[in-house]
Amino acid sequence: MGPELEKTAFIIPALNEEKTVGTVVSELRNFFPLSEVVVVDDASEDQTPTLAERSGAKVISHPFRMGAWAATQTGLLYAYRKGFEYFVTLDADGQHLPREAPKLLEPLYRNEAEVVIGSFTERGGLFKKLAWKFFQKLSGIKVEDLTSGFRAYSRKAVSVLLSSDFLVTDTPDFLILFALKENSMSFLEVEVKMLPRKEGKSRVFPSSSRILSYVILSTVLSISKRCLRWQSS
Amino acid sequence: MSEVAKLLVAFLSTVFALRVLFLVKRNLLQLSYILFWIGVCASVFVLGVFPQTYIFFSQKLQLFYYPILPVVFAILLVFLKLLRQDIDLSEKEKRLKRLAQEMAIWRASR
Repeated sequence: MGPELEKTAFIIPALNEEKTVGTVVSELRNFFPLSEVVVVDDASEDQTPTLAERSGAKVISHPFRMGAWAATQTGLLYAYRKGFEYFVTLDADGQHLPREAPKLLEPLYRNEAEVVIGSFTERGGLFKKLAWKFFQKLSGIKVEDLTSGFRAYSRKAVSVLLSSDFLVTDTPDFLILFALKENSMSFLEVEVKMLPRKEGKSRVFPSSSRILSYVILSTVLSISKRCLRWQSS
Repeated sequence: MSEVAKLLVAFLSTVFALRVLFLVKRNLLQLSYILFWIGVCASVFVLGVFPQTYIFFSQKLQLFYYPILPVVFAILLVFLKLLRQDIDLSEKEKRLKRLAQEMAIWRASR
């Protein structure tokens, strides 16, 4: 995994994660000293960008809050333009373990897939598991952990993800997976270890109403994508 | 419809059309929207002053209450307008976010 690491960028979207971002960045720099670590600060109100930079990350700061996906896309856009070939996205809250990244990268380096998803299906309660099953059936996308943010992409896959069309929503998990599938990107899912969130609520799903709206929107999206595909075939 | 009501409708729709023109004059309204609003004013004027237009169609559709036809038509038009606005807003939001991303990358790269 030597020379490929120099062409690998780690993208971390971050919002008010001053307690964990420094540790995550430091671990990445220790494990992967040849790779670039990019933290995209989504207009945090705490010391997130300062601590990330001190730990050795390249920090890009949004002028206003745009959501986790927009932050991820900013990092991908930056790294793509700099010529990186492999991209890993992970969270700043310490749930995703840097030492697990090789499990995602190795299949990518061997060209076994364009997208490798780090799966940890033990997380989440019964409702989440049922929701995943439901969306797998509805969308036809055979991924167990549909909402995992711990993923590795090839340059070809990232070129699909850079479209501004994905900025219509803060949580385009399905939109992205559909787009990748429509562009014939190969998926691989690997089991990884994840830690529970160290503190606070999810930034992406801070409330039940947010979860409910996500479920409804994802259902509508899945149906529209499958119906359109049926209509165009 | 009484003659007074027709005059009132004609007056109000004319005032509304003049208001729209005033907004254009003050550069407060995009020119692309003017066609829609002038069209609305003209429709209200015609339907108000010449109610026989919608009565004819209501009778053909066997409606019991004739004025409901322009009301339903107006509601549908409002929904279409709102949908169009949502589409436009979505496009503008995408562009704004993309601009903000580019700005953030440019600042980080200096």
